[in-house]
Amino acid sequence: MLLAGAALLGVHFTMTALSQAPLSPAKIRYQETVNDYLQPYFAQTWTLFAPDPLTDDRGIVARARCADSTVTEYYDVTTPYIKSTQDSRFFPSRMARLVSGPVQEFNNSDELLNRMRIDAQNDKKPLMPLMPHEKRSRSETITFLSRYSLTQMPQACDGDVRAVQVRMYIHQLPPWSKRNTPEGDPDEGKVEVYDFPWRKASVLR
Amino acid sequence: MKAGKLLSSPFSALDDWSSRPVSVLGVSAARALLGFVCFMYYVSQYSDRRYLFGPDGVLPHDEFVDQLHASGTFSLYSWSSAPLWSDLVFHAGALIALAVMLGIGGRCGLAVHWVFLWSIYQRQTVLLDGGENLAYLVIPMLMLTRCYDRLACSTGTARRLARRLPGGVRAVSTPLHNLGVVAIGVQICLVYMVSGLYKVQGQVWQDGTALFYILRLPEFTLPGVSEYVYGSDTLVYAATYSSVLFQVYFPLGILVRRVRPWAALVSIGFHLSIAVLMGLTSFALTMVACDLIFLSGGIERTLTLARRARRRVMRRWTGSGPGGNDPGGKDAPGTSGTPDSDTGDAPPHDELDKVTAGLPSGERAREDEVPGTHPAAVGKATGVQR
Repeated sequence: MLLAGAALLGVHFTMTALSQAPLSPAKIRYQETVNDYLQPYFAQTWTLFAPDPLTDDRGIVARARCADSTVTEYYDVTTPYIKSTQDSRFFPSRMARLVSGPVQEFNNSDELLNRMRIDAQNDKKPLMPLMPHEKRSRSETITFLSRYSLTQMPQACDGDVRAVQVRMYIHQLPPWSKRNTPEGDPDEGKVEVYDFPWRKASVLR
Repeated sequence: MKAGKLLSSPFSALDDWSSRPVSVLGVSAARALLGFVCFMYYVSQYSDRRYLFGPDGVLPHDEFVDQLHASGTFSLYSWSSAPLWSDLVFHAGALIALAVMLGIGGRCGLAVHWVFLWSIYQRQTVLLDGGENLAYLVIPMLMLTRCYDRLACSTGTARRLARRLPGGVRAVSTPLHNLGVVAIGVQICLVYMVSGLYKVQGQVWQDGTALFYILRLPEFTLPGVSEYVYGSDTLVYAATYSSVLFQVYFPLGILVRRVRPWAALVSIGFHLSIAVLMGLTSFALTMVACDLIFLSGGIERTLTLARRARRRVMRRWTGSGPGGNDPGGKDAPGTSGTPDSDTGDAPPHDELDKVTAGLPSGERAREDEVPGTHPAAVGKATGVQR
């Protein structure tokens, strides 16, 4: 009984360990078996801030188009919840993750595609276009963020919003080497923005 | 001598493994803390529950059901698109988590808790982090263990049910328990090893500057404190390198029995600082809950001390008592610090009964734990450990 149980545990943790190993020929070879067994109830990811932790501050702002076709200013729909997270150390609200989660995953794909794209970038070869499932997942993310933004700016257009556009920003925080210089202040650093397509409010509600 | 004893009696070691449950208090404490963390998942989202988990919230019901089909799993929240239903499932889930924390409902209750927990996790997956991931992996393993034997308000139903089970089923209870404890131990070691080894490969972890980058991210900043931590070069280097070294070597610390409780204590300290500095309370406490399985002995001593302190305070308050059985200061908490002293002055049985909450008396003797007992080490003579 004990030995049989121990053997089962051994198989279980071998599969688990393989799923957590870096990308390798062995991993690709057994990927299907391992995934069939682990997904979804034993799925796990333990890379926790590794190998490369985020070095930028990402978030979104959003603007609205009203009934009379005027377009509003950008509303900050990210920082209010970040502030409330910072204010609490005892089980803080997770509302901030509605933005940080999708935004961080936006450019992420599965391990193999990520690796191929990084290799292509390093070799200065043309980047592989997005796969159909990646396009679909991005579109879903944009819908999710647009709907979230819509609910976070109730005062826009006096409540009658016709469409929403989300802008993602990536604020590169200054590197370690500049920490003691004026441009090393966390508020400094390059900011890139990406505008997502407009989404009709009628579809989102 | 130690090796000789082990080699000469592999069968008696195996016998011990299947007859003596290890770390019963440890898994019970892990179950209680995990129940608390899960309960707080509901509490901390309470005011936003309709927005986050309701059918008309930020993830409408039909899109949620599509997501669920794509990932090939289930969620109780998908059963109906009525707002009342999701509210009902939410509240039921919160109460069941509370029951797990208090130790009501036994392992069947724990299984039901897992179903509700999985359901709410699937309802809004962007909220999840490693803590939730660990929770849904560890709960099935806890279900193998006797994690309701201690720190539980038992109603006695479980005991009555257990008596009705055929002997064959009851006989596998102890081996299953031990396997469950080992599984949790291996799982937590895997977590540390994987995250440690991936860190070793990262540029900023090699440079010793990773903490500087992480603590500046607005989501993980504690204003007024983090600036001082990432502003100090020495602190950043020391904390970055020590967290990588600690994570990589944690499994070795767990393997060596004498080091085991200390490795678990370091881990608890590490995670409590993550909780404060980065605001990841539930992730940190879930990791702490898993560490508790290595600290059965330590928890036992703490409980004994707390009980004794309470008795002293009660005596002083009531002002009565002819001096009691304990001669004054000799019994002060500080003097009981030596690891072995607790077995000598264990609390009287009526006190134990309150905690063990109605175990059959034959089983009670097994409850007295050796600090950090691990199946791999049970075969050794007890004297070897120190």
